[in-house]
Amino acid sequence: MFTENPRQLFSSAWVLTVAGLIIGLGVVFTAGGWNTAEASIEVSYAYHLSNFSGTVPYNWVNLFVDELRNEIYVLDPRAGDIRVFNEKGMEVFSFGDDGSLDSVMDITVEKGGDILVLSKTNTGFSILRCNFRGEVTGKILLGNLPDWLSNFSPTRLICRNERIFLLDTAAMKIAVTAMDGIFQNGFELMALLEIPPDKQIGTEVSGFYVDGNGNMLFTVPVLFSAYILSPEGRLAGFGTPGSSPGRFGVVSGIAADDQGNIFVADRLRSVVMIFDRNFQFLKEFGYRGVLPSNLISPSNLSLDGKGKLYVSQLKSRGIGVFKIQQAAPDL
Amino acid sequence: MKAMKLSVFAMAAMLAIFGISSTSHALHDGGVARCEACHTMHNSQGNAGMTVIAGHEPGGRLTKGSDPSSTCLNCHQGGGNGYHVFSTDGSNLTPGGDFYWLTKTFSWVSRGTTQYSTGESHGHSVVAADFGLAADATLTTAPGGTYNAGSLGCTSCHDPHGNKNGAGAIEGSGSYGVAGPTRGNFRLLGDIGYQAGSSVTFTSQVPVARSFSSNAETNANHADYGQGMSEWCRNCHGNFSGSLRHPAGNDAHLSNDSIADHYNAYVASGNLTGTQATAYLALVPFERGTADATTLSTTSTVGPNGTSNVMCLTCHRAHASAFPDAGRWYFTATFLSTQSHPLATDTGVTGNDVLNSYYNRDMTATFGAYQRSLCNKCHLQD
Repeated sequence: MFTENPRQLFSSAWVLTVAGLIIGLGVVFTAGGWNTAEASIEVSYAYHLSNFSGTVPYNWVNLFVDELRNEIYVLDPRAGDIRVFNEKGMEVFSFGDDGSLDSVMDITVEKGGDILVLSKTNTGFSILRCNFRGEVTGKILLGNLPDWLSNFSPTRLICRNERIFLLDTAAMKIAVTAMDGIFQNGFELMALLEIPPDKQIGTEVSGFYVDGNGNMLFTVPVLFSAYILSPEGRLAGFGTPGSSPGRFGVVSGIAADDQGNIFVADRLRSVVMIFDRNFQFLKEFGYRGVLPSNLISPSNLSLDGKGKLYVSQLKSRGIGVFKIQQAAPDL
Repeated sequence: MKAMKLSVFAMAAMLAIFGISSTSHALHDGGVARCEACHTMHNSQGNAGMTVIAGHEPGGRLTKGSDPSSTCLNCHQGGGNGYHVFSTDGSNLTPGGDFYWLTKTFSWVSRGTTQYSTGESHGHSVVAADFGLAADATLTTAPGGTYNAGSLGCTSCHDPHGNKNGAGAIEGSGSYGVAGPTRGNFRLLGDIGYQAGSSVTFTSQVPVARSFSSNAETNANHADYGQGMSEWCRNCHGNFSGSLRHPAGNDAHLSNDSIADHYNAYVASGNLTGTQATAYLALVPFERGTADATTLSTTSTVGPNGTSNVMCLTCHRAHASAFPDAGRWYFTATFLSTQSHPLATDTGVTGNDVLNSYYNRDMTATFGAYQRSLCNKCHLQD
């Protein structure tokens, strides 16, 4: 049904949509009504990422959780530095503030513990490999890129399941490579979403995440939508514009946990919304305010494997950490 | 009730599934759109007040940000050009410039004295508390006017409601040269009668210009200006015209003193081999002296003629630049390649600041090692 050619993937969308509709309606009938949640999910504020001076006053930074080593990597692109926090939320190390990494755009950590840094250079971009001290030990060069990625200029980088996922947010192109940078698969999101040419400027990806199964999640603010793209190229999307709970204002960060729950940050509404694997709205939390549990323009999100959600905010509120607990469904 | 729930969810499921193929639609695609995009009508979300502690309430007009500019930047913060105006690395190479430069102060030592190019001098210091952008502490009122620096924000110049001469709804953006009475203003700029804040009401109409729909500004991909920009700037900077000031405006024609001829011939310091067909330099734009936006071309490389005129934006950027006075180049440098700041050796320089400062131009490669001030594009004194 699906093809390796991303340009042709959307031609199968009708099959997908009809199947999805049947599944969606099936869920409704099975549940015997609008069951708001088969399993309740609870959210509680935990703490903010801090150092010995208190909360680190970040504004909209990039996050990556190294689940194997229980460390949280935070990139402040404006300051150009990278700080590492332990699982208790305390800063334990920092590097990159000497300018040695050029203009850092994103950061991730591979299985072996090496840190990969995506940097903008005078001539394009580079993927730097750093050791645990943040010292550059090498570069990853992309190879075998197809012609449609000839002007590829990635701004996001995520390492997952021994694969490197690179996203060009403006061109809306994804390249998936092996750990040595050799191209394996790619997706043209503009084509998949059938963005008309006169609307392609200004239509771009905001939030980007890769879950444990290799599904690529992303948001497109001007479409008021969030999407999940499977490794095989199956695309599903959801989202409705609006201001009421569960609706999308200016969506940004996105993440998904092992149960398939999807977390979507909304800068405008200052909330993080939670949807189940069927895109059914479960709840939202945050709201603009100055209580620790409030959120001001939440942006990038990341999850660890232990039920903690990390939320980057504005107004120097840094990164709020929330505990997510999902109760077993009522039988 | 169950039926209603069913229908709601069914509709949501259809939206979720069929919503994959979509047409992009910004919150205000050329004009005013959904009120809720920017305002919280009842100061309430999720049955809880957004206001928690006095002083941290939503903006004074129930905006969803702490102030108007914070509300705008919820969408317009970012890099990669397009509709973004405030990046984290100076990479928005748009005609207006990147507010990133407001956050960058560069310093260097010259003859034993530390010199500074301060962030607040790099552009219009819009106040956006959520983003850490504060009022200009040096120029507390608009140069040549009375506008209070503490009130300066995106809505000081742009009318988010997209009114055109106080008329009603518009059907689309007025930024791309499409004619019609129901088209909006260029870049949603405030029109005659616009109350811009700080007790300033605009008396000059919006300029005639045309935007380009692409990424970085280049000599062949740029905003093309018709007329009226300087007159519009004087809504706030009214006393920046008249005697003993550099002329700018619809009557400041480049035919005076053969300036158009100079512009067209000038390629670089010492190189006067240019021709009008390829003379356009985006670092020194001009107005073509027309009120018809449909005749403007954002890809034109043609230099000026006798009816063209100099404008404020010939030398300055509307948002911000890497240089003092929001200059398009470093005004006081003798040689731009080696004496502009930021230089790679300056304190405060990060990433690609130097390259971004001149819009991705290597100044030595483009103009030569001894290129002098771009004032000479018109005045030929080098």
